Amino acid sequence: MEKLLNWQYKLGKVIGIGAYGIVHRGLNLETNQIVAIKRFYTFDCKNGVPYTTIREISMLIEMYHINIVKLLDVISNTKNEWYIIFEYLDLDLEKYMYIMHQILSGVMYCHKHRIMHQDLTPDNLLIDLNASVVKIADFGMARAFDFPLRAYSPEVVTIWYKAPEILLGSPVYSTAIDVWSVGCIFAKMLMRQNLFAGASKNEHLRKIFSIMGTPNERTWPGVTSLPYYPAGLPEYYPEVISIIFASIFFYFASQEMLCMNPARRISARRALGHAYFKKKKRKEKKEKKMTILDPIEKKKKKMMMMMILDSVSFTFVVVVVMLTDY
Amino acid sequence: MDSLLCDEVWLTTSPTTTILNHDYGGSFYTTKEDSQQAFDICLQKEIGYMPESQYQDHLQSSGLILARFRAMQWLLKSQRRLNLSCQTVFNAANYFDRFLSMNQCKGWKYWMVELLAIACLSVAYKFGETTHLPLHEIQMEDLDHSFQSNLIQRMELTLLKTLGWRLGSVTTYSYIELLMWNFDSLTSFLLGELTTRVTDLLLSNLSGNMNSYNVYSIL
Repeated sequence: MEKLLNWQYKLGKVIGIGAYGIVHRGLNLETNQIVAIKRFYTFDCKNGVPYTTIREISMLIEMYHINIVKLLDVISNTKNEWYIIFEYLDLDLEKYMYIMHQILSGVMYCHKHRIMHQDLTPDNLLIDLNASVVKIADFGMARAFDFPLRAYSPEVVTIWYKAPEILLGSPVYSTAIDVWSVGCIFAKMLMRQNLFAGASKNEHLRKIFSIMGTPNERTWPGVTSLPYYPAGLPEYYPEVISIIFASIFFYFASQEMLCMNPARRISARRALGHAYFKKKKRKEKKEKKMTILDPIEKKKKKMMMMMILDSVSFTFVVVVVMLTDY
Repeated sequence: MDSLLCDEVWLTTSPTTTILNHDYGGSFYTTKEDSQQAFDICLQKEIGYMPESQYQDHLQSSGLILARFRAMQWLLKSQRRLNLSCQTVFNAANYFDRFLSMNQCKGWKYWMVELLAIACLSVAYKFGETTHLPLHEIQMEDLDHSFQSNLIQRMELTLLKTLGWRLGSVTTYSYIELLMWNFDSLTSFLLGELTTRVTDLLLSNLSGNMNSYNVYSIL
């Protein structure tokens, strides 16, 4: 935080590097507001001001919408270096993906330590915005498991994130139920609404079947003899869910994490081994940990953390805010 | 003014270049409400894209009428030469007028006007066109002066700063598509024909006096 920009902004750490410039974190010295400062690479004189610069600034300067990043200022210094000042935001979508990686890592850790969470929901996943870290919380429903897996009470897990084997009354179930919940959470993060949302158990099952296809003995051996397997259900075929998810990553998530048959559902460990996350991991290593500049902001966040800590039942469990509604 | 311009080739009707290639069966907006909404936004925004008041007086007192006329003619010629969209030409003209109206200094030389016109066209091109155009191609023809690219770049930056980077101008041309919605009973050929005529009219108007002083939507 040494470099000053026009005596108005302090230029901080680099938080992003793009094709046309470098983004720094910065501080407006007048308002004490944290900002993002995009510094353009020196313009190549041959073609004048790059069209990307022209478009980016001219488009944003006239847009005022809560869901569009706010351009605060365009400034140049005496050396003819140009900077755009934006509002500062904590996460970009890349980090959002990184959040998914963290959720899966947490779940994998639990499973490795023979703990099933059994109640993974968006409100049990908390985020520390300062450090961009996700923490799994609320282990009130969690159970240590041992082999062979004994029957657990079917009344665990908030219904919308419940795996189909629980809903169908399977006498045994395993860590795969957590993976199903994570799949539902990913879908919700993307769609901002629940992929399956039934008011009752039966309606919920019907919703799942209508999207994922009705399971049968071929796709899930033994399914028809489960206690709550509904008779006379229409034969739904799986929807082309890739359209819903609109990305390969979510297609992967939906196909493998939301596989109806728990025996074939991907494990948290294998999901983490997916090529997408491998790419993330390399990138992650390069990224430096972000720290907050403003002490007041820091205090505020700390207080928020404390408040939430109080309300959380489980002792070692932590931190802030339901992601999807933030 | 005719006597002053004996050596000029008058472009009263513009070449109908790109415009006939469009398919008039479809519009950018799919419903009438969307189109109406866009129209309302244009009306709200257009005042912000008008040149400053008394622009005409300023042009006259600074002796810039002829210079402006020549610049507009050059823009129209460039449209044909570079196969530009009409929107680019209207935008460039709008930047030109706004810049002149905001810089009410007395000492305008003709080369400055030419430099401004080049910068306007270059910025409008980069804002709206889809292909890449080197600066030297912009100033290839019909200009009295030739400028170094770093000078053009500095002019571009001055222009952008003066305009407050507001480039998505609402011009008379912006209304054409929106108004054509009201003629939805016409066949797409007739619609294309009508649009071409109206565009020609507006383009030829560009170099005259009327354009810059009237509220665009009235035109």
